[in-house]
Amino acid sequence: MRRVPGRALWVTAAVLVLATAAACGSGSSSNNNGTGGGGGGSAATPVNSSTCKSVVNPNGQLLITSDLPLNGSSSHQTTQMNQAIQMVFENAGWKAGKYTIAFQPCDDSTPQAGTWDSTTCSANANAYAQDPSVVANIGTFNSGCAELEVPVLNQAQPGPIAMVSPANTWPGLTQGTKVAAEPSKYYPTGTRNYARVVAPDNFQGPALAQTAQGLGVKSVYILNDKQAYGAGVAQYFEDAAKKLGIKVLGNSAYNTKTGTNYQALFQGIAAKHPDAIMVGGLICENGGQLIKDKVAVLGDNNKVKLLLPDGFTTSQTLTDAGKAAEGLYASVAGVPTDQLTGAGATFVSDFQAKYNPDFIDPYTPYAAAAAQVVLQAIAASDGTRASISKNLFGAKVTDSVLGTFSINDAGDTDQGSMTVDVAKNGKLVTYKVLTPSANLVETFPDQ
Amino acid sequence: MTAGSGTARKPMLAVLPRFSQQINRVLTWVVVGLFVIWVVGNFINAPKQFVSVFLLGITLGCIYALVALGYTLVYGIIELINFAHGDVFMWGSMIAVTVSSSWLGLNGTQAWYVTAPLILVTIVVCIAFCATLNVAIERVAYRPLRNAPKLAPLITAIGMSFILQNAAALVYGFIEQPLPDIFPTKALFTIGGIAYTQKSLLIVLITIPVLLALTYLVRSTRQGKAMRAVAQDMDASRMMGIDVDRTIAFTFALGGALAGAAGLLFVMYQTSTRYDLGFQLGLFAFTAAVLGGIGNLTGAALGAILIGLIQAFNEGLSWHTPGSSWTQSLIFSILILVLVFRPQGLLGEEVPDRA
Repeated sequence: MRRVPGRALWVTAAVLVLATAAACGSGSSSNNNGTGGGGGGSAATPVNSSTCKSVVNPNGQLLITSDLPLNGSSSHQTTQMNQAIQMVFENAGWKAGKYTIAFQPCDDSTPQAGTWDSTTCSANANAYAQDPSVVANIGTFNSGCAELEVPVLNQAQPGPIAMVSPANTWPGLTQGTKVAAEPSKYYPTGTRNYARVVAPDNFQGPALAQTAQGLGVKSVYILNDKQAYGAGVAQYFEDAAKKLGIKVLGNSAYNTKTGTNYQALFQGIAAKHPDAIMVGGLICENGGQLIKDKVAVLGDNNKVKLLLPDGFTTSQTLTDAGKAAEGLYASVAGVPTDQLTGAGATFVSDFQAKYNPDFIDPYTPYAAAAAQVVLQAIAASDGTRASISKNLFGAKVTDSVLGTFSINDAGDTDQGSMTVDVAKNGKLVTYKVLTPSANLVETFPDQ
Repeated sequence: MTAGSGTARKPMLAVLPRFSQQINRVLTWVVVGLFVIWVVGNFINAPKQFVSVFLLGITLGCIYALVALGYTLVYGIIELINFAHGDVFMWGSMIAVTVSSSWLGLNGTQAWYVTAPLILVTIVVCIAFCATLNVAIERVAYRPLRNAPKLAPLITAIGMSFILQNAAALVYGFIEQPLPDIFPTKALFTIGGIAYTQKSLLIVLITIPVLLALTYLVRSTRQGKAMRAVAQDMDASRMMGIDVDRTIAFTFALGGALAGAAGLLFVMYQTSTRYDLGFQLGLFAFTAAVLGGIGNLTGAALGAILIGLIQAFNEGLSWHTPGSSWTQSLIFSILILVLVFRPQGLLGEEVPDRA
């Protein structure tokens, strides 16, 4: 039977392709039509989707959802974000102005992917749009997911659903970029319905570049994961670094699959002798291995600096990379939790007392701020989706968890402060808080 | 199964006219020629870097080889691509983390005479676990389908792969399982500023004797003879008094044992693993087995070393290399090219000893 193993191998290859597709796109939940109910004085109808958990305060009339990846390495962070949102609503007595509210957390990730999943994001957005009780959505965590959800919520009937993100940093969601038709492609109706409480990546890239300059970095090699967020923040970093006179030796994509060894990649980079490595990506994309192999080949992070954006700014990075994490710099939008004052400081101590987490993740106060923005918009509205969306813009939020800030007509916050952390003795500690120079923050006209 | 091996191998695309064989041969040489130019060009471009990347490729290739052999052994005997094999390998790596780190408390700070025997214990546990797992899979999922059409066990194999993956996710969660550096990481020498570590050498030093022992087992022992006989003709073997079921089970045990050893070496080298590890790595190993000529032991090892080298060259060298994010595309292009132009693989034609 020494036949050429032809046909069997072809069948195998075909099945392989199918298996690949299944592994990448699995886990979507079909959404159903939300039926009846809503409005008036009656209780909200829960979103009919298996990705959504049960409704908190189910007697409220207006339903606010949250849309975050609850599986995988960001789950430590996103669990706290839902707790923060719920705490803000509880403190408000489940009321926004004259309306009573209900809260339903939903999940935009799948266990298999361990991160946000495009099919789930789309299905979630459709489920919200079809449930007339839903008036606002707090989310998403990942910009790529928001790119899918914003247009669906924008076209919802009757009226666009307000969406406030505590963590999306891709600039194109609210303003022009180098990408065609941004941001108008996210708003098919022409009316805006999306705002965020974090400064976008055109602030984060320059903040990391200024940090690099401060560390005496003369040349840098950039790696990116090819995704909207990772490649985007890498590009903003590259542009700012060039303006600061730092030599950019390259900006190339890396393979994000589990089990990939990056030592060859770093050996290639070592031949270019960079002073620093910048990675535009996420910790859940084999990031721990990337950091370990960087240290194995190029030496520790004091010798060749490692600069990371907020996709890595979680305690998970320290767990996954182990000893190799020591000395890495990781940025995150906003002010660190231990430097919040006033209402922010109160929030942090209350949160610590109530949930007793081992560590408050950086986006937790931002989730609280997003919830406050939503409450204020509902209170100022007539209770309809369109009116709530409209009231997001031009709003001045005073005494919030993040202090006083306002949301402009594009949906961006006027707070541009960024925090850069450094990993020391197995912990992320604040290295410095800075607002990047205005000349480094790239902006493009809306398209 | 066609009896006898007297009939010449027909090229896979036998429907094409005869001259296509010549085109085929020319194209093969063109591809090989371009590959050689690419390798030599890179060597001239940066010799030191080439050598350090080459050594890394050999190390990666050795790990792939141990996994690829499992594919090839099983294919050789029952003509089944055991898709669950990559996931058996993943389980090997998980068990290695649990046993070495959680049970035996290895953390990389102990002296070598403490570490070495404990690693040996871990190896034994990993090998025993994966061999048992693979035999159990064969017993439950493949044996009942032995006389079914070829597609049935193939689909079952994919099913087993998902079951093993999800079981690992259930036990270990969806996050990475880190392991401290237990293998010695001291540099043996440096080339162009890049260290060649003891652990890289260790991988190679463990893999080679395993390959030799396996080849000896299949070629020169009674059990190996039985395996070859079953591969040639199951019914005739049965008539000659060979216990076919036992021989097949033994082959699965051997494949599982290799996967267990590979899992341990991988996680000791890489120092982290995750429930979906078997996916990309399993596909690379499968490609290696096809590249070398599936069913051919030497071919699988050669194919794996080649895949390791191609991956390392592509990522670590700079002369006409597409880079890290293209590694998968490059390796699967090789899979397609081999299937189209040389389905028997590199060494396929000189295979008297298909296990």
